[in-house]
Amino acid sequence: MTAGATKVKAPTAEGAVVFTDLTGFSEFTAIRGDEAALEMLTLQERLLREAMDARGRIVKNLGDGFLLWFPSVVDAVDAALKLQEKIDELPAEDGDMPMWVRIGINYGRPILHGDDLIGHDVNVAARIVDFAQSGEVLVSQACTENLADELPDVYFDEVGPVVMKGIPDAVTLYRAVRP
Amino acid sequence: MGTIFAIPEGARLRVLTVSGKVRVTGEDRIDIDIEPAERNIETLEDGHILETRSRSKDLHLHVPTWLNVSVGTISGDVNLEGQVGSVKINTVSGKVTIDRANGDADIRSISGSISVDECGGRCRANSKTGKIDLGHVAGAIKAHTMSGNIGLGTAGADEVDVKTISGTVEVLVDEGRAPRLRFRTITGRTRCDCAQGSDFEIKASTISGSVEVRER
Repeated sequence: MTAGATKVKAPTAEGAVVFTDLTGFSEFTAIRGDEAALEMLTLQERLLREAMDARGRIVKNLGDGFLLWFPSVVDAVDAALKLQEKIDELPAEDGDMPMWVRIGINYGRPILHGDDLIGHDVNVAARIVDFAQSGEVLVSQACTENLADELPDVYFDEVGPVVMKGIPDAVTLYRAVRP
Repeated sequence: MGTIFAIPEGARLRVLTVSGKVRVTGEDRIDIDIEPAERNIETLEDGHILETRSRSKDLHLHVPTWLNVSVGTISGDVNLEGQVGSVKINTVSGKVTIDRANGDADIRSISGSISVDECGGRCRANSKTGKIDLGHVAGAIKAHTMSGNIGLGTAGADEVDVKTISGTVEVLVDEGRAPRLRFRTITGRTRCDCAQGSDFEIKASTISGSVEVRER
């Protein structure tokens, strides 16, 4: 930056950052072929859009997953659970590919970079999904602190502290469960 | 002998390291002894959490057998010896070994292996590429891997849910317990050598891995 230049503050988008990950997709593609893989991705996106119900935004398609943003953490958690519930309702025949999706959610103020989101809160969300089991929705403590009892039918089961490379404080994670 | 700390009623131990190994020994005592002796244990969240941290130094804690233990680490190995209460462990690449968790266990690793000899409650174990070995679990089990193998023993009282993309799964059922089976695979092999019934359910899903269920 040149001397005297005014530093412009980057625009932020306070809200919930959500990563989804379709596990086993590469193996499925290798066994069943590209056409079947495309059908699987199309089905996943349809279920996701139904679960989101226009409450959030698909920021980026990551191939076998998505980066999503929601202004409300309540809507983010509800949509993530709805997606898992819709997947649970799919017919489960032996020989069919199971759809195994894991989801991680963080809350914060990511920076808007064009249509994309970047920053610490995005990095944390990306690492949260790594610890999720397929079928799970894992959320950070920053999410539970901003929920304010607005999801009375959902409970949050602590899964313990996660130490992340380059992040000074451990992040406590919770599994969101709607019985 | 390290430094001794009292335990507030209902407190859980939380241990955080980056690369330091964590060793916790459950024994007949009422307090916590931490080595090396210069390490501190902080009381947080109104006495509900006892926390100690280390970057790369190894920690050894002697704790009561009923104490609940949480550990977060990036690459440090985690070894819980003897008996402890419930456990929650998250690691990126550390290897986790547990002798006995009297309560529930939730263990997640990205590339490290997970081994639990005995779990007196429910057990969740998740690893991307590491092997999962659960010797004997009294309650429900959820064990998921991508490419790691899964071996587990169940008391046959509650649901067993195993998923692996390409690893092999071996389930040992306590004698006299008859599971209802729900296998789902694309190209893998499934086999059951024990009596089937309705005592509990085993759900096993793989893409290319094999599943075998046997009586212990």
